[in-house]
Amino acid sequence: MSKIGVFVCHCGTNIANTVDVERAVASARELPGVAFASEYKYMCSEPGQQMIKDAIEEYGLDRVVIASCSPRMHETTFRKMLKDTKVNPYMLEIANIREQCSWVHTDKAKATEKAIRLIRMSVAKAARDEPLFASSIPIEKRALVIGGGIAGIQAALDIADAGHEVALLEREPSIGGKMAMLDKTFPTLDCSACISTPKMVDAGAHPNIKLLTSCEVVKTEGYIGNFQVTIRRNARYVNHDICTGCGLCETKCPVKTDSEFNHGLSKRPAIYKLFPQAVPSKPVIDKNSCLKLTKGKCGVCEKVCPLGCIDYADEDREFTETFGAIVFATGYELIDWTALYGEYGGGRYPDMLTGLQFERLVNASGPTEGHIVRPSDGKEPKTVAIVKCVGSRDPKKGKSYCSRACCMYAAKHAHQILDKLPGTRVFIFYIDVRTPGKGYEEFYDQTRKDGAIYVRGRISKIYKDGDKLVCNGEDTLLGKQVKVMADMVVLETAMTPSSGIEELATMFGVARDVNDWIQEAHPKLRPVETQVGGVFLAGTCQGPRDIPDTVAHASAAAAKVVSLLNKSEMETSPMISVVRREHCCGCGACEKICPYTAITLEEIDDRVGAKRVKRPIASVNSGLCQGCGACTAACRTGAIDLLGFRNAQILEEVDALCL
Amino acid sequence: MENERLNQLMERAGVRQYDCYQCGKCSGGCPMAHVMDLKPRGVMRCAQIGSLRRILESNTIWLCTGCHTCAERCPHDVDIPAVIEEMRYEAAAEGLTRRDSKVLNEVFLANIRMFGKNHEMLLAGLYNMLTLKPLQDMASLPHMYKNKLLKLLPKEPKNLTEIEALVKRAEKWRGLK
Repeated sequence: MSKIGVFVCHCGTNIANTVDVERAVASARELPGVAFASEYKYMCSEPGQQMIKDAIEEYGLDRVVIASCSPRMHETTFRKMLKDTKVNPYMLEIANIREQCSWVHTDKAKATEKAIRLIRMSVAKAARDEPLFASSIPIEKRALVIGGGIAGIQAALDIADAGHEVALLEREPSIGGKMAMLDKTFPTLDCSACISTPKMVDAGAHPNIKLLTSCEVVKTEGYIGNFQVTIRRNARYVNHDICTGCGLCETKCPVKTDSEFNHGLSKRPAIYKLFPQAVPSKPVIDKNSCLKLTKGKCGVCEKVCPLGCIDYADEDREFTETFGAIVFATGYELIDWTALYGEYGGGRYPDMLTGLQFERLVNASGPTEGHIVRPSDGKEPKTVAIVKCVGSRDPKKGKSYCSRACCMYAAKHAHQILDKLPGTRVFIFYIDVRTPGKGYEEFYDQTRKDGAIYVRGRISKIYKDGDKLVCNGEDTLLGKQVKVMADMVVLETAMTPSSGIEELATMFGVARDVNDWIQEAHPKLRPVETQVGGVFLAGTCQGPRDIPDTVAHASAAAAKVVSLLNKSEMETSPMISVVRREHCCGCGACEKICPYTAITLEEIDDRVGAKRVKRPIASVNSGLCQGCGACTAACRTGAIDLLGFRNAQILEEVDALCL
Repeated sequence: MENERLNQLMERAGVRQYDCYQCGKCSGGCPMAHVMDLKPRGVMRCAQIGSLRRILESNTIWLCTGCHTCAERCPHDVDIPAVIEEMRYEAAAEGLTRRDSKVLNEVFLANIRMFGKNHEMLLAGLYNMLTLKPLQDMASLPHMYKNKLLKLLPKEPKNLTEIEALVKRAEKWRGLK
């Protein structure tokens, strides 16, 4: 007979106000197998834990049921406590009588009855608990950072400084990301290039960092501590081993195509560096616009290159490397407003810019060398309308969330216009101004004092009248319709996850939220981890945020990676699936449903009667299995059990509830 | 009491007033907002603070043309014309119909009964006479005539009995008569 101890927590008044704790304890004492039952105000506190330890000692308990908050909250706390006792940490059950009982009910009598039943279920399950032991796996002491924006660079630098090797992967030909495109950064107005390019150079020169530019992840296998990642290096057509980045080829190339870096505001040649401060500072050939590669004629760059770096026969190359940890730093893109907002002209008017286009326009190294002029006719605007929340806070056409950074960079844009073109009238259309950050409110306040006119109201329609862009809206504070005849309109558009995030997330088995941002493991307590062990998050791949928050997030992710890589091996959760070979029919239903690719079919030698046969059965990779239990539900013969949640244990719970 | 009635009306309109976050995109694009004493956004605001009376007494509910520009552009998909429609019924039931709106309705319906469709010239003429503003909007007459927006004579009516049946059915609906 098992000796179960039941401990009911008051959680201050959180539970005790709605559940009659003493009645719950009294009824627990009557349950079969229960040797001891007690209550305490805060079970998770030091004296509460001591009480459990003492009871284990005194009554010789061999398993423990704690009726308290959700196991997500304190299961690990109590497991840790049990490590110091004779009881195996996995001989523990948590009856959730807070989140699933006291917090959601008001009728005390009924809530108490429910709490008693929840405890009865846990006791029944605990009676069938078995001791489980964590195993350990070796850790490859290298990290892969996916995405070479400021988040990726910061994470890579922090991990590398801690003494671990890092591969920094970027699909563009240069690292730098969005921050390299920006002109100035709020609220201090320091130049974005001046603070980000030194970091890019550091990352490029760091002995522990290997840059993988023009690279993409193709495939991944393995698990925490041991990811085998297949990477494709897209053809560059330039031998970077000998290229010195002299730039002669770029000046001679006859092709002119839209510059991605300048968001179509200027042209670039087919052989190009993404921007002058690119790292690595060596050009690549764009195979879609190069005349030699598309039509077979030209070849000027090959002729002028003094070192013979050009190699038109270069091909995409795949290679596989092993990493112990992965950091997602894939960043964001701006929403394509032209497809969504017909009432704003749908992209027909060249003088309507997105925030990033404006950044390039106002940037000293941008297409106009920082002169704010209209793209259509090169004239300086006299009136500029800045429209916020284009695509953000718009559940019907765009995204329901707030993109967080726009309020501040809209204020910055207004400031820059007023600074460079004094006397310009700047109207900022907003719904709410959100400036939670150090120095942010002061910056907004200053922009208002500089003369930016804030109008509370979302713009309803923008159309062209002569060479003016007419913005119709309501000044909701006055309750009057307003019409602004603008020369230029800047749309502060919503951030959305980078393209390709779906494939990447699916590859690693990482969950995405409703808006396709990567889902963190816990919104408050595990903000840089994912549900998949060894995969961490840095920056805007998890949700919209500004540069200070991104850098902090990236450093936090790096700290998590370093603490993982500092170990030579790590404990894994023993709560994983096991297959009873004799019951498995080899149908493969579990293999299909497993979100972590932890189950494969293997052939075994078996006997049917007197005949020796080979047949497939499911086999679980203990490193990959995260214990989600999907396979146990899919298994038609009941051959798969999740340790700690065996089918028999679940049935005991159901019996305890219903019989 | 008033709140309860308001909630009933909103429910009938299929609109949750708290969906609106007062961005003003509706009123910015409303073609009639410049003459409304309560902008479409104001209608939603009054619905949020439970001020049914103010909506019923506004000229907004009678001036709304039902063009649906507001609802089309609303980021939260709030169907303001549906709310205004309900408010019209409610105001009519309370006898709050403005005289000119009433006249316009009657003239319009008479027009439909006679010709099967609206004849603008007659509508404008009768409306102006009955509201004692005979010269109202006369200035736009040449422009409208030149651009074939008005016709001097109505077209020959067709299927008048069916149209009469339709009008009767519409009047019966929701107990207007």
